[in-house]
Amino acid sequence: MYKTILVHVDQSPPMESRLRAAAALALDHGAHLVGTATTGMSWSSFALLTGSMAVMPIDEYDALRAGACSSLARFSEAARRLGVAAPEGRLVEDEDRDALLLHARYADLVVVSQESGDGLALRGLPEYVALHGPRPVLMVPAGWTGPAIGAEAIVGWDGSLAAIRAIDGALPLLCRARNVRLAIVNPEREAGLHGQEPGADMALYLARHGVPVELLVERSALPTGEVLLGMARASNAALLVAGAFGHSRFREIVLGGVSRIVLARAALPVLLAH
Amino acid sequence: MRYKTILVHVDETPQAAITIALAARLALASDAHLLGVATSGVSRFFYREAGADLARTVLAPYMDERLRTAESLLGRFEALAAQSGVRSFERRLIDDETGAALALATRYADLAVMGQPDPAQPLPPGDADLPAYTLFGGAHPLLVVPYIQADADAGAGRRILVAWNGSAQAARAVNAALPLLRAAEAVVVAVVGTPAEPAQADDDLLAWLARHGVDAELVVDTCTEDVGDCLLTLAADRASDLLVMGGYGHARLHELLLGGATRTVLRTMTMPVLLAH
Repeated sequence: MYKTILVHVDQSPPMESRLRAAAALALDHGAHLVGTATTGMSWSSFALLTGSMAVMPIDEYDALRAGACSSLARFSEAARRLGVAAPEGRLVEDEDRDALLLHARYADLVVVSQESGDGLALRGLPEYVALHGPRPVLMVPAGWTGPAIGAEAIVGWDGSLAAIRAIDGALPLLCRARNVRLAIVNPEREAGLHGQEPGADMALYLARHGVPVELLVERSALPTGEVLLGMARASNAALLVAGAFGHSRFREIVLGGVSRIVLARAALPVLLAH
Repeated sequence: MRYKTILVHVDETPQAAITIALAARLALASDAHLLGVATSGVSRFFYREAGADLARTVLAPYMDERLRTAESLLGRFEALAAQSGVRSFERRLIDDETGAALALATRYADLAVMGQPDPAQPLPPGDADLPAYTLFGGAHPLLVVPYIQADADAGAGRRILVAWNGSAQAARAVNAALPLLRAAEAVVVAVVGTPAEPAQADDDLLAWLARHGVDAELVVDTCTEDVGDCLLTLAADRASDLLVMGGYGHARLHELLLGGATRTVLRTMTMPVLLAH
C-alpha cells in the first residue's frame, strides 16, 4: 500500500506533470505526500568549493537554501490546489539524488521526472534512486497529461529479481488496474524464465493478489526496450513496470540496454526498481 | 499488501512439523495459498550428465529413495495443512539441489518459511547455508524458524523486534514485515549502534510506520560486541517472538559472503527471524 509518497521538488518545467501525478496517486491511495527540495550540494561541499576564496560567500549558500524554500512553498501551494490536504515539505542540504535516496526509506514510492537529453546535464536521477534505493521509483514524462496512472498497465517480465521488485513495488497500482498485461519478450533468451509456459508462475502470483493479469508473449528482432514501449503504445497503457539494470561506476551509472531505452524514450509513466 | 502465497520448505528434520505449523498459521491469518516444497536435493544437472549407464544402474536406487522420501514428507505436509484449516494448499516436489530449487520457487511467493539448519544433525553438503542461499537468491522475505523452537503454538509475531540501521536492506525488511507488524500486539524498533558509529533516534521511521497502521516504540542502544548478539539479547529481554532484520551479503553459486550480524543471527537465533535484502 502506498501510505507515503515522496516527490522530488524543484523549479524545472517537468515539476508540473510530476506533481500532478504524485498528487493524484496520493489522493487515490489515501497517502501522505512529501516533497523534497535541496540546496543542490551539502554545506561541506560548498565550503570545499569556495574554501580557497578570501571570504566565503555564505550569502550564496543562503541563496541556495532560500531557493529550495521557495520551491517547497510553491509545491505546497500547488499540491493543495490539486486537493492534497496536508502536503509536507522537506529541505535537504545535499544533492537531489542523495536527498531522495535518504528519504526514500521513509516512503513507499518516489516520484521523479524523466530526464530529457537536450542541453541540461543528465543527472541520472531516476536510475540512481531506482538502482540504489530500497523503494520503487515512478518516472513521469515531462508532458504527461494522460489518464489515471495504471488503469492499463504493461509489466515487462524477464524472470529477474529486479523485475520482481518492480512488480512488488507496483502492486498497489496493478491491483486497481482495469487490465494488466504481463509482457514477455523473447522468452528463450531470458535466463530467468523457465518451464513450458514462461510467465505462468508470475501470472498466478499476480492473480492471487487480485491483479487482472493477461499473459502476452512477443518474439521480435527489435531491442526488448523498444518492444515493450511498442506494446505500451498499442494498448494505450498508462503505466509500464520494469526492473532496472545497471551498475555504478563512481558517480556514473552504466545502464543495461532495456533500461537505457525505456528511461530515455518512454512516453508514459514507468515504475522502476532493482 | 498481504501475503497471498506462502512457501514452506518441507524437509526431513524433526523440526519440520513446527515450521509447517507456523507457516500454516500465517497462511490462515492472511488467507494465503500455502505451498509446501520438498526437493530431491540432487542437482538436476548431475543426474542428467552422469553417464547414462551409471545413472541407470548405480544412481537410480538412490534417486528413487530420495524421491520416495520427499513424497512421503509432502504427504505429511498435506495432512498438517489440512488439519490447520488452511483453505488452499499445494504440494510440490522439485527434483533439484535444495538451495537452487527454493531460491527459484520463492520468486513466486510473498514469503518463504524454512527451518534453521541444526549443526548437530547430518546435513547434505551446502544445506547448512540453505537460509542464506534462499534469501540472497531471491527477492522476497524469508522467515527462518530456529531449530530450538519447541512450541508450534508460540505466537510468531505477537511481540516483534525490528532491527533498524537506515540501510536499504533494513528498509526492505520492515516493508516486507508490514502485514506482521500490523497484526502484532507490540512492536519495538531497535536502533543499535556501536561506539564508533553511535545510533540516532529515527522519528521519520516511526511516522512512516504509523501511516501503515503500526504503532511502534523506539529503543536506541549501543553495542560493544557483535550487533547480531546484541539484537538477540535485546529481543530476549523484550520477550520478542519475532525478529525482523535486513540481511547483508550475497550468494553466488558456491560462494557465500555474509555480514557479521546476519551470520550471527542465522547461526544462533532463539526466535523466528524474518529477513529481506
